[in-house]
Parts: sequence; C-alpha cells; structure tokens
Amino acid sequence: MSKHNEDELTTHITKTLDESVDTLDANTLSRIRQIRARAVDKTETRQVNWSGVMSGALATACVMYFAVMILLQSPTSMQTVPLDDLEFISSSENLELFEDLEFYEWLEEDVLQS
Amino acid sequence: MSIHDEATHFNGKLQRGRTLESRRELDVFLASIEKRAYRMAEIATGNKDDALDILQDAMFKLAEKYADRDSKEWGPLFTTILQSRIKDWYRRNQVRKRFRSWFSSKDNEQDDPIQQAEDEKARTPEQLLQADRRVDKLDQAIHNLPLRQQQAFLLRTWEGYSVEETASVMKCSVGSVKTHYSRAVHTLREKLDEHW
Repeated sequence: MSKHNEDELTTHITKTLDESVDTLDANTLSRIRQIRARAVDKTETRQVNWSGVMSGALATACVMYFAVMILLQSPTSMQTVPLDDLEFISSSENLELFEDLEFYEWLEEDVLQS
Repeated sequence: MSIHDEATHFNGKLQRGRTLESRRELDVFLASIEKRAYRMAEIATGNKDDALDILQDAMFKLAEKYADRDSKEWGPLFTTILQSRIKDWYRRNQVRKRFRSWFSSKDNEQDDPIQQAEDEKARTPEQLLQADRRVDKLDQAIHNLPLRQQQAFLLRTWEGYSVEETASVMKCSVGSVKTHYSRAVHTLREKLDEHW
C-alpha cells in the first residue's frame, strides 16, 4: 500500500470516528457526564483514611506480639522435655530392658530380701 | 483575631480555593477526553455497558491516584489506564468465551458454538435502520482486529500519539507498535475497501 493510500485511509477513518463521537445518543452522553461528575467527586474523598491506617497498624502489632511470644516460648517448651525420656532415647541399651524395668526392680528387691 | 488565627484562616481558604480549582481543572480535562475514551472502549468491547464500566474505572483511578499530578501528565496517564482496563476486559472475556464454548459443546455437541455465541453487536431492526452504516462497518472492522492492533491503530491514528508514546502506553517495543499498526492498516484496507 502506498503512503498516499495509507494517509487517505487513515484520514477517512479518523473523520468517521470523529463523526461518531459527535453523534452519540443523549442517554449515553448523560451516563458519561454522571460518571465524570462522580470521578471529580472522588478527588474530595482522597484524604488519608486514618482509621484504616490505625487498624492496620494495630493488626500488625498484634501479629508481631504473638510471633515474638511464640519465639520466646519455644526454647522453654524444649527444656520441659523430661530428662529421663531423653536418657531412654539416647541410650544404646536394648529397649526391652527398659520396658521390663519394673520386673527387674522387683527381682532386685526380692534377691535383697532373700 | 490573632495573626496566627488569620493566617490559618487564610491558608484554609487558599487550600479550599486550590481544591476547587483542581476539581474544575480535572472536570475540564475529563470532559475533553470522555467521548473519545468511551468510543475506544465501545469499539474494543462491542458493548455499551462494558464500555461505560471501563470508562468509569479509568476516570475513578485517575481522580483517586493521580489528581494531584501536573495536569499535563493526565493525558498519557489516562490513556495508559484506559488501555490497561480494556486489556483486562479482553482477557476476562476470552476466558469467559472459552468456558462458554466448552460448556455449550458439552451440553449439546450437535450445536455449532459459533451459532450459539451471543452476538454482542446485535441490535433491533429499528436501531439498525437508524444506525450509520459507515460507522457500524468501521466499528466492526476495528473490533475484529486483534486487541494489540486495535490499540496501536487507534492510538496512532485517532489519538495522534507518536510511535514512542504508543509503545509507552501499550508497554511494548517501538518495533511491535510499528508491526501492529502496519498489520491493522493492511487488514482495514482489505475489509473497508468495498464499502468506502
């Protein structure tokens, strides 16, 4: 397509599009004006929503508080693991021995008594 | 009244004056671009209500986020927002169409999905009689272009944006704009030649 043809086509299209803008129906124009009026009103409500900011800050503070509390409590709860249990776990002895511990204690007492 | 009170009072009045001036300036700007913006959205969507929704979203965003910017920046900002909203609509519509065609083919595989698809440009016979056929043909021809070609063509031809400005609004390279524009012109020439 030659440059002349292209220019002719685009000029024609632009002219038709401009005409279509000028012949918009009344209902559409009215709705467009209403939208514009509401958009301009939005500039007045562009104030910082302090209640929203404060709510956000409070929520963040609560989350931080609980996170810190959980972190601080974790080592304590680790220390409450009974040392006796730890001894069983780390022991290389046969687990059956520990399971029958009461029997061996009774046996020991019985031997001592006799 | 103390000097401090007077100064505060004066500053308040000045602030209100500036706000009113700024509102007036924004109103004038929006009034100058609203019809073209609406038509761009209408051509892209082929639907009046969707076009008005897009226009509303774009105007609200400009007013809420960029009203305090220099008024010279409003034009490119608004165009970028509008094109972005049109692109969002287009993507959502593509997904909706895919689902619709999938479900309709599941419901009745005998039906042709193209025959079943809703004709968004459908109008009553009275409206068809009243409508300007030339504008309708042009709308249809541009509407049928791929979205990127539509955007490149309308921004370059109708809005008078340079290739660089169009690339900035479309968030793509200058080369892409040239390609989209060239293909759009070629297709429109083919489609409209018989009518014009």
